[in-house]
Amino acid sequence: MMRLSPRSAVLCAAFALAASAVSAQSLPGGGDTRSSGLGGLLNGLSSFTQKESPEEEARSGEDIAAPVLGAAPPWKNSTVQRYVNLVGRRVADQAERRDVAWRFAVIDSPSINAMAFPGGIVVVTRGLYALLDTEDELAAVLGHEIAHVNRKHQWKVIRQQKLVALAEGRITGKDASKTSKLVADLGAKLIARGLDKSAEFEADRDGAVLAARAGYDSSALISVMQKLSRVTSDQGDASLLFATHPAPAQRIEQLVAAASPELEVAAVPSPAAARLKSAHSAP
Amino acid sequence: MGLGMQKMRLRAVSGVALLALMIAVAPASAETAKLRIPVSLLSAPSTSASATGNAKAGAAAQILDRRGFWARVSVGGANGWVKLSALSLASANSGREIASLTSGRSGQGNVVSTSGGRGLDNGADLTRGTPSPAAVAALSSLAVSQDDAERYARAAHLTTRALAYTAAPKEGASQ
Repeated sequence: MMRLSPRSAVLCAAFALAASAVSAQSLPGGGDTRSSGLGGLLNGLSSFTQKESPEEEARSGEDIAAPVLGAAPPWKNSTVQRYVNLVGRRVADQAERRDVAWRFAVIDSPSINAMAFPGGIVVVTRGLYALLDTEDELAAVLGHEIAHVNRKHQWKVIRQQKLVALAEGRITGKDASKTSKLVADLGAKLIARGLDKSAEFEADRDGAVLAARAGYDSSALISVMQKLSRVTSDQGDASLLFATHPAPAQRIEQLVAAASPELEVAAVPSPAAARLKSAHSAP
Repeated sequence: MGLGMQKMRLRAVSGVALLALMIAVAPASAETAKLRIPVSLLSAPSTSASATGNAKAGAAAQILDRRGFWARVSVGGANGWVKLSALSLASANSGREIASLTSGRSGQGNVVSTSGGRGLDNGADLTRGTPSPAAVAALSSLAVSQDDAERYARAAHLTTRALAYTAAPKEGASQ
């Protein structure tokens, strides 16, 4: 969750006004404000607000992912990488967004975590991957991350903070490398602090639905949560995951409380459940 | 061999068998929960299954097994299946969980953070790497097409389901 300084909050309010004024201006019959001083300001601001595009989102996601992949590159196991991409893409294709380039990877880190980046990059650490026993569990983990991208959870936060940085003159929008650096820093902070709890619960609910739409066990996230609640230090370090997410027991409770009868019916192991183990043992 | 000896051996054998059964039944770390509502304990994880007993709200339950959105629990000596939604997990587990999750690792008491307020230290290992745009670019070569994923799903006999998203439970639904 982003916290704003009072000054930033004022600037944000100015942006909100600017955005609404600009959209009003584009309506048929809307008065032309271009000639006034305020109109000029609004047009200047609108060049920022109108910039949002899947391309900008993708670029930002890549800027944020770059240091993460620098710290933990994709695991050199092409069989597992392909497998995770097949399962990930299968689940992602159940989501609504079509303007995303889905890319999945198991990254070579012993810690236990998974992350989504704006624009469709999803990574699972080797530590978390090793905890999984079935393809249904993998689909559940990927479904949660896909849901974050589908709802633009991270991107909305980053985008808003980027606008504040523009308004405060910390970036100009013309220096691409400076913008990339700022976005990477904002992303690192977001990774360390985590999203709002409600966004995590929403990703749990949506992720279970996406996985179940794809044909997987709608209750597999519960298995993953049970494993997380029992994880021991020799299985890997899950401290970042726990610092940025609600407790596993609370996540199970919220997921269960929200489950629809249709989702409960889908709580059966999929025919693909055992595939994960065979992908594991492959060279 | 005397009858007494045979009895003793039988007792020893059944003792071992009982122990083995207990190990098989109870998971390595049985979770505890509290019943949030009065429930019927059912003979199978289905609303149409017969009742084997009843349990009161507030009773402590040991979770023995889980299947889908159901749990088999032991409450005051009686066993049976209940809906997971009848159980309060967080209130019964949070203390133990937080203790076990922090032991020997972060060393910080408060591991459950809701939003902001934490420093960068937790993310240090994954966000302080030297940026690798090449590794990011290489992700595209791992990606598969929608056709690939569909072929894979067909081979795995996965069938799609039409399912709507679910709404957040009302405040207090999981207290």
